[in-house]
Amino acid sequence: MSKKILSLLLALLFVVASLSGCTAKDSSSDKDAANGEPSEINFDEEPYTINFLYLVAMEGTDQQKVNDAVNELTLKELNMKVNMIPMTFGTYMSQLPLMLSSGEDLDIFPAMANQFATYIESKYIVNCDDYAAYTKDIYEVLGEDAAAGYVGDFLVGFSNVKERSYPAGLVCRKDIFEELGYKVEDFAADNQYGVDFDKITELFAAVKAKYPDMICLDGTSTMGIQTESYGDNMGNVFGYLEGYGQTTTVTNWFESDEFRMFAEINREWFTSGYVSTDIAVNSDSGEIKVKAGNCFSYITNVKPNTDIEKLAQTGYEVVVVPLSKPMKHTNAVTADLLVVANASKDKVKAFQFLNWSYKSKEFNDLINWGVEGLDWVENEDGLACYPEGVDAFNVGYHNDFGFIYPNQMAGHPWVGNPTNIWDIYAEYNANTAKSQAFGFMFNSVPVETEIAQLNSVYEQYYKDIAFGVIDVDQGLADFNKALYDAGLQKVIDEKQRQLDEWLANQK
Amino acid sequence: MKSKTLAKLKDYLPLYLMMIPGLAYLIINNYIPMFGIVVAFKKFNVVDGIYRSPWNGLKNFEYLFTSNDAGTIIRNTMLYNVAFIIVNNVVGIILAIMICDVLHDSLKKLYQSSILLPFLVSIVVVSYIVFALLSHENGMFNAILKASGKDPAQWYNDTTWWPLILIVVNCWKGVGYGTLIYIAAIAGIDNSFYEAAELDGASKLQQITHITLPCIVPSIITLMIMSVGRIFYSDFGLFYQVPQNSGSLYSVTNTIDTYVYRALIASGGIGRSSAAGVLQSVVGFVLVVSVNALVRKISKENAIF
Repeated sequence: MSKKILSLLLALLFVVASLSGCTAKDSSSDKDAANGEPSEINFDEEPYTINFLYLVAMEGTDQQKVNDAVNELTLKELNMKVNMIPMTFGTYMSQLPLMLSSGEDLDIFPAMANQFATYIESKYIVNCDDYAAYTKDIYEVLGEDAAAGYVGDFLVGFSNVKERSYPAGLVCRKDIFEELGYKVEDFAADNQYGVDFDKITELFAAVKAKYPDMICLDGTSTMGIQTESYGDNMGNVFGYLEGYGQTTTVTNWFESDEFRMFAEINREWFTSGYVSTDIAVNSDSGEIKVKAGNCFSYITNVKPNTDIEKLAQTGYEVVVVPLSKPMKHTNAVTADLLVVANASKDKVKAFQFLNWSYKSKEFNDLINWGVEGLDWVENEDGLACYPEGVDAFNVGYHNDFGFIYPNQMAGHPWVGNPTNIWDIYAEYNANTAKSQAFGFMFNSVPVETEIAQLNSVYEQYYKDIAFGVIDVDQGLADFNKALYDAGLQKVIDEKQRQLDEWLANQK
Repeated sequence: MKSKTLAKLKDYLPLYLMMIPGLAYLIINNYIPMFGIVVAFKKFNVVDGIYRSPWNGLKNFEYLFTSNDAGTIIRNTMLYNVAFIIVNNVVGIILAIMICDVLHDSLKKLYQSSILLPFLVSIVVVSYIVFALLSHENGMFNAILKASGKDPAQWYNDTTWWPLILIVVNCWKGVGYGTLIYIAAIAGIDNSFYEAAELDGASKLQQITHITLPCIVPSIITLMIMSVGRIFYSDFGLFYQVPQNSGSLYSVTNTIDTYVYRALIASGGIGRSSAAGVLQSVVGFVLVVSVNALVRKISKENAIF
C-alpha cells in the first residue's frame, strides 16, 4: 500500500515539476521589431502598460495621486499606461533579485554598476544598442555619456543626468569652522590633490583644543575609501588607474605610495584622538553623526551644491573643503543606469517610454517632487518649493532623488539652489578632467571566482587600514598578501588585457 | 487479502483525509522547490529558464573551496554550532528544572516569559545592545575599565573575547526556546515518581539525576538531532550584525553565511548562492542521518527514525 502511495506521489511530483519548467519565454519576436524604423505613436491601439520601477526616499501618502497624474500624462502623450513601482533602497536591494530571477513583469528599472555582469550573464536585461533607433532623444540629452554604458558590445542602459565626477570633500560644521577663524581657501595647496592635508590635521587639532569632547571626524568614509575620487577603478577596486586615471597601466592601488600616505594621515588622526574610536565598525552616515550634534565633520562625495543638500540632511550649515580634484571616469557616469528588463512584453514601447522620460519636464517633476499645487509649487524665481502650510514633515510626496531619475535638469530645481544650478552643473561637468579609460567598463565574468574571494578580503581589511585603526605597515603587508593570495594578479592582468583591447579599438 | 486492505483503508479514510492539507503544504513548500537544486549546477539565465540554461558542472561551488579562508570558515561554522548546541542545551535544561520547581504560579510565568523574551528580539536590536556594552567610545565595559583605572579595550579589534561573547549572546538570545520545550517535557513526568522518591528519602539532586534527566532524554535527543542538521548553517545576524562587521574579527566571526554574503555582495548570481545552500543542506542531511543511526545503535527507542 505505502509503496503505491509513494509511487503515486512521485509521479505527481514529476508532473508538477515538468509543468513548472515550461515557463521559458520566447523573445525572438521582439528582436525583429528592433531593427525597424521608429513608428509614430498609434493612439487607436490598446494602451500598453509600462512597469516602471524607481527609487524613492520614502513611501509618500500622495503616491496614488502621483500615479494618476503620470498616467494621465502618458496616455495623452504616448498612449501608454504606467504601473509605477516605487521602492526604497532597502526594498529594492531585497526585492529586485527575486523579481528578476522569477521573470516578473518589469519594463524599466535602475541597475547598479556592480550588478551589470550578473544581469548580462543571466540575461535579465536588454542590449540597448539593438534599440538605438528609439532612443534618439536620450543620445541627444546625454551626449558622449550615452555610450559609456557599454560592457564589451552590450549597451547596458542609460545614465541619469547629474554631476559626472565624485571628488572627495570634507563637510564641516560652519559655526565651528568660522569660530576658529578658518576659510576654505586656507586649505588650498598646489599639489595634485589641491589640498594641504597637514592643514586638515591642524584644523582637527584646533577643534579638539576648543571642544575636547567633540569628535572631529566620523561617518563611513575617508580618503582611502573614496576609490572613485583619486583614480579610475573601472568597475571594481581590484586594479586601478592611479593619478586621476591619467595612465593606461592597471596597478594595485593598495600598494601605492598614495594609498599608504592616506592610511598614515588617518593613522595620525586616529592615534591623536580626532576620530571616533568606533569609526571602523560604525555604519551610520556622517550626516547622521553631525545631526546628532557631537561630530564636527565627515568625508563624502561632493558636488557643486553639496552645502545646500547637506543643510537639509544634517540640520547645520556646512562648509565643504575639497580633498581631491574632480575627474570623470566611466563609473561616475554608469554607477547606476536605467535599463530595460528582458521580462518586458513590448521592448520597443519600453524604449519609447524611456526616451520620452528624458524629455518630459512634467514627468521628472512628478516623480521627484510630486503633484504640482499639492506637494510643491513654483516660486517667483522658477524654483520648486513647498506650498503654504506644507513642510518636510507633512508633505505627501517628496524625494529629492534627482540623481537617480532620468533627467532632473528637465524639471525644476528645489528652492535654495541658485536659479542657474543646471548651468553650473553643465559647466562643472564640462571642466572635469577625463580618465584615459573613459568609456571602458570591465567585464568581470571571466574572473568571477577571484572577484568573489577578493571582495571578502577587501571587506576584511579596508576599513581598519583606511581609518588608521591598525598599524599601517603591518596592515598593508597583510592586506596585499591576502589580495594576491586571492588572485589579484589574475584580475589585474585580465583588466589590463580588456583595457588594451578597448584602447586599440578606439584608434 | 484485498478486501482486508480495502476495509482497512475505509477505517483510516478520515485520517488520510486529515493528512491531505499537511501533505499538500509539505509538497508545495518543501518538495517542489527541491527541483531548484539543479540551479546550483547551471549557468542560469532567465531567458532559457531553470531547465534549459546550460550546465556549469561544479564551477559554482569553486569559490567556496578555493578561498584561503575556506578552512577558517568551515571551522568557525562547525565549532560555534557545536558550542551552541552544548551550551544552549545544558543551560536550557538547568533553567527548565529550576523553573519547574518554582511553586508560585504567576512567578513561574514571569520567569518563563523573561527567558523567552530575548528570543523574540530582532538580532539587529541585539547587536545594538551589545554595542552599548562594548563601544570603544561610550561603551559600558570601557567606562567600567576606565573607572577602575585600567586601559579601555578595543573590543571590536581584538579577537580574544569574541568566541565567548558570541556564545554568551547566542545563549542569552536562544536559550528560551529550548527551555520551553524542556519545561513541557518535565511537566509531563508522572508526579508519583517524585512522591515515591521523597518517601525513600532521595535528595533533590538525586531526584534530578535519577528521575528528571532520564525522563527528558528523548526530548534532548530530538532537539539535538534537529540542531545537528543545521550545523553547517549559521545565524547570519549573529555573526554579521553583532560584531558590527568588523574586519579585524573575521578570523573568529567569518562563517559560511557571512562569507557567501560578502563574496556575492558585488556580483550575485543565483547559481553560486544556490551552490552554498545545496552544500549546507547536503552536509546537514548527512549529519542528521548519521547521528540518528548512532543514536539507534545506542538506544533504539530514542532514535527519531
